[in-house]
Amino acid sequence: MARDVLTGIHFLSGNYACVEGAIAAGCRFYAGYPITPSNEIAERMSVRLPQVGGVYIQMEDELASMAALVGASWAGAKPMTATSGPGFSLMQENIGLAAMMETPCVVVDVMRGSPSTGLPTAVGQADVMQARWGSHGDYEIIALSPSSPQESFDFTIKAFNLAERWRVPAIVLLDEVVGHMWERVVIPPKEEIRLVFRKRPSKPREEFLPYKADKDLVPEMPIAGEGYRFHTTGLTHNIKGYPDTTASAQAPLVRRLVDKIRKNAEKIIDIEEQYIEDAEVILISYGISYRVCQYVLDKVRSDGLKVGIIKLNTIWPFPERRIQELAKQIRAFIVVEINLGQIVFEVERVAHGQCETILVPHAGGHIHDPEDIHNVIKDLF
Amino acid sequence: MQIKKEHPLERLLRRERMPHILCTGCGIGTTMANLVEALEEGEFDLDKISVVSGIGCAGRVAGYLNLDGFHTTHGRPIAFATGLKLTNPDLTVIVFSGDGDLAAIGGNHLIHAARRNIDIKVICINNFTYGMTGGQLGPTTPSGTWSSTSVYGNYEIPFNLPYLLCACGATYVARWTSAHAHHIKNSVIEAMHHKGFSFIEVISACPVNWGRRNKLRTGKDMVKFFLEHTEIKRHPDPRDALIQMGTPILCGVFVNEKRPDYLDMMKAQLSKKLGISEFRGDGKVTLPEEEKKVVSEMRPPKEIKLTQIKLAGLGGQGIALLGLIMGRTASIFEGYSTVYTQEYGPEARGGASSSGLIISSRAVNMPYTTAPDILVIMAQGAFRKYRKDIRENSIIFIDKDLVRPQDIPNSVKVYAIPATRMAEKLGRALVANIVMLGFFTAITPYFSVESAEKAVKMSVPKGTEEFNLTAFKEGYEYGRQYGRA
Repeated sequence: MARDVLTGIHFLSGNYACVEGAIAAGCRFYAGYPITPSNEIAERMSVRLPQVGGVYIQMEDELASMAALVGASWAGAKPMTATSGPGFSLMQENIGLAAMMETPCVVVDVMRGSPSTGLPTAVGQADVMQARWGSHGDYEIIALSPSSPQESFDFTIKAFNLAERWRVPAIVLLDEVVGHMWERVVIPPKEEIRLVFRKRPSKPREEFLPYKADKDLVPEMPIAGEGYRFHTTGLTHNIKGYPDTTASAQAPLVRRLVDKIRKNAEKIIDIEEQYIEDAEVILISYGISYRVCQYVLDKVRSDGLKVGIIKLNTIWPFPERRIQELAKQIRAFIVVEINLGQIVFEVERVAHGQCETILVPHAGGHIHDPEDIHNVIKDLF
Repeated sequence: MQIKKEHPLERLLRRERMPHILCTGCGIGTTMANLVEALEEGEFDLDKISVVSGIGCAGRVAGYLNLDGFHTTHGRPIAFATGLKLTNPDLTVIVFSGDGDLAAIGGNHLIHAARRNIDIKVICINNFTYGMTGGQLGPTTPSGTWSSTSVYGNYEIPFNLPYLLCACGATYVARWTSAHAHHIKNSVIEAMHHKGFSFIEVISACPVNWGRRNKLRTGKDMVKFFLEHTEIKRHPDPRDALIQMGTPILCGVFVNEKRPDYLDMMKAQLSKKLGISEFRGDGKVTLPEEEKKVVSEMRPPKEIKLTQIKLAGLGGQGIALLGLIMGRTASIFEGYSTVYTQEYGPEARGGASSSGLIISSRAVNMPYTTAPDILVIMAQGAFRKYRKDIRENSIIFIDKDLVRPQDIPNSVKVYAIPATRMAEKLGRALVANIVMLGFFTAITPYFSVESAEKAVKMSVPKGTEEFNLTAFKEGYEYGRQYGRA
């Protein structure tokens, strides 16, 4: 009998590992629509979810998939969907609803070359800004970027935990290369996997206010069918969950939606640093591009060049504090991403002229040639 | 006479949300009252009922009912409701929304939910217009009538919703007008007891935004119009249900049939295959006991330098499987850092198949085989394609009946095996890839026989393990004659 946590040593693609991470995290609901290069996620979900008594449904489009996710979450599911650029665009409407209603859910975007239909079968990393603010309005979400199948497993679990903890959509920004490459994935014993669940109402129905937040700015979440008879809406609402379409209701609500991530950012941010202590130049990258950087870094370090690296495991919220700190100590940041400049603007903004910020861009369709990164580094020494 | 303080339907309404936003004469309020009466009369478990609305005047109803209520995005309440229902099948899910929301922007969800016969009860307020935004033309606006965006008269044909829903597979379809309070209430009760996709269309008065432009200025005018222009039939034919000015509005129950709903169909298909009796998104399912599996320890790899291996042949030769088995051997059983990629996308079309494998005792960062040290080639076309990758001191493995290596440096070592012929001799050409794996294992220092055999066993179809292991041994023995590379 298949189990929920496939403890052991596996050889998996990033897309397959993502599915195993989701199931290990307690995901039992998947709604999606086929799109390359994310299809292996849907296919494996359609095999694995029924084996653990979960529900896989192929919806009529991505609008429906995302709406079904929000509904499923309010009925008590830890739901997930997976897509790629064009589908991610369609999902933005209800990602906004999830943010407004404060609905935990996980959206996997296996990034391909873009815009529009772009390069369906080849890599891109140009959805990172869309992940942040792809839906209209002010809100904050959480986004993670795995650089290997093992991280695809680990970060998917993490995405569910963060979504549940902060009641936001968590975006897993896979890319085509990480999604399709196979590597060893070690799945730990079930009891060693730490799972987080949303806060549930601590008061009886008569006293319960569904949008009254605790100190951490996150409210307790009721579930349909448990007798709370709550109301939730995509309209601006008060702490009772009732529509209140006034500027005086808007301010505290939207401010809190934003602040619950911004003010708790240090608890959410996950970055990895290497050779930072003596670095004069620091590479910043994520996903598959991080690995190309690591390859270059190993070379330039053996040549004695004082280069370090920051790997963004979480992309949003952005690690502002750390980058600000480092900007004062170094000569330059080099940002490597498969787009023509997205995260680089964040780095530039935060570095605020304290050091140089250089982009090594790529329009998509392939990973960087390591030489392109190497040459930028050489020019600085 | 004593005046009661409490409204008889107060239990089901959120008093603090009153007064509601609906206009005088609007049919939404009365339909909501009919729904509430039905819920009272039917004695349903109110804690288990969720009401989902979209956007628009009718969309506000979820906020007035004292039930779990979800006011969602424009057009998506049915998709949202699908998530609720499949996560917790014990919920009764009602969608209350308007014609624009359900049939225009949400039309795709409407027809697919009906096709799936998912157990959701949809109450569709059809007031012929977009009321909230000021009375624009919609997909249900009757031909020849006026709206704020059809001031010269509507020249579109509206949806015949009962006919559409019947065609899509809804198992309960009814239509009334907002003047038929009693019928609506009874239909709601019927739908609540019906298991499957239920659709109740309520032709509803909108005197302010539709009536005003169509000589029906008050709620009273509209109700009078409905009563005078309605034909209620016992078994109405949905094909006759198109609404045209000058002909009666056909009302009644168009379909009421028993058919397995979505969850029934899902269970019937999956239960017998998986031995699980329930499927739900919240994980509250009892699963059969699972057997404990012994997890193998990871072994530290022996020291090898980073080696790139390219595997290429024709589609159907099992190149991808060969790569996967080699990847498993290297990664799981030999403990090497291993990256395996398959050629993907348009270049993989046209019958060619290729994979790349990188193995090392150190971390591998770059995923692609850009400069292969070893090429395993099983077809002449593949040889031609990857000839450019063969350098001084490359090692190539070929099927010697299928590949003639030409124009290669003298330093290249060629290991040739009639893998396909040997596989055919064993009974199936299909295992030529496994013969090649045995050959590769014998010649190169990377894999132990034990590791490769374990990987073969876990990768081939059940029941064919022994046959594949025989093929592996054949290739291995052939390779031993060559000696190690």
